[in-house]
Amino acid sequence: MDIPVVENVLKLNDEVASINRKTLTQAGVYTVDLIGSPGSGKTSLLEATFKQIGQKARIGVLVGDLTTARDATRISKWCPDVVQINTGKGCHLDANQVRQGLDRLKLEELDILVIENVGNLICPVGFDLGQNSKVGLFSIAEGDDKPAKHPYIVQEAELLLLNKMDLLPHVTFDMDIFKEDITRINPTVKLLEVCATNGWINEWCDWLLAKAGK
Amino acid sequence: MHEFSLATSLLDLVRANCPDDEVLESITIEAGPMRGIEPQAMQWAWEAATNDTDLHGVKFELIQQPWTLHCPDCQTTFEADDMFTDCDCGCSRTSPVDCDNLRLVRLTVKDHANELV
Repeated sequence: MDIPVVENVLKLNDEVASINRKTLTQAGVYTVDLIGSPGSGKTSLLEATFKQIGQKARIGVLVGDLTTARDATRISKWCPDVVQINTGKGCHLDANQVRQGLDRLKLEELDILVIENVGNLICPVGFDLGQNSKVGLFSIAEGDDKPAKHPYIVQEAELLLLNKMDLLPHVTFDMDIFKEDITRINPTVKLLEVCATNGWINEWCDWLLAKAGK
Repeated sequence: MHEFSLATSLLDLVRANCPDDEVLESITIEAGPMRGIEPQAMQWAWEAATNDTDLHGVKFELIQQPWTLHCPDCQTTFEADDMFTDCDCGCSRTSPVDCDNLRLVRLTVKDHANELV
């Protein structure tokens, strides 16, 4: 005998994410879920961001990795408000892990929270964490076909960043294909070209500050 | 391996939706193509997640939905096997819509008909 049901599989995660969102909104914190492949430059982007606008806005970071606290160690040189979440075998952060991370931050002192998700362009996208916006990070070194191969982040992101622009002259990367695929999957998403290691991140910093009302 | 996370998320949801006096035989979920769920991995994850639980032995069925694409020119919505499928009107700017469903849609419980005979 069949019992029809219509329930979102991630209902419990989404309920905790709603609590996170309410907590962060009440504290006046603009929250970004930063999603990108391993090696795309997520941590480097954050280091450059602190260097550029660390005096203009107080930014906290929750950083997810399977293991090690290396990213938190790197970021702690720039800010005291960093919490490392080790997911063990988990390939993404979930709302409950973020909930526990939020308890370790002084949210009322923050303007912006960046959740640096586990390096992965697939799994993290489907899990609401309570963020205001998802930002997808691609890099030139990954190749021009990544939006087509990972359409979910393209569709869900409010902003996409293309990092390591300094490598463009040295690798095979068709910018037209990259941009056409993005436009087809999500005609309204904004795309910014950046280079974290050279500090070419002005537009990203402007976007972040504007979102935080700074 | 987000399949294992999905499988563990399903455990509580299944328990919450199954009446206490019924014997659960199988569950069915529906997944859109954006979710990137690999059927064999999902099957394995369900078996691993239910092992040593009260749901051990409950079968798992995955219904994978096709891409649903919208044409901005003629405003048609149609299904396709490939995300980059042009519209019949010739437009190549079709975009995916509602392709990220992930729902528990059916519980199948042991039929009581035989017990009544």
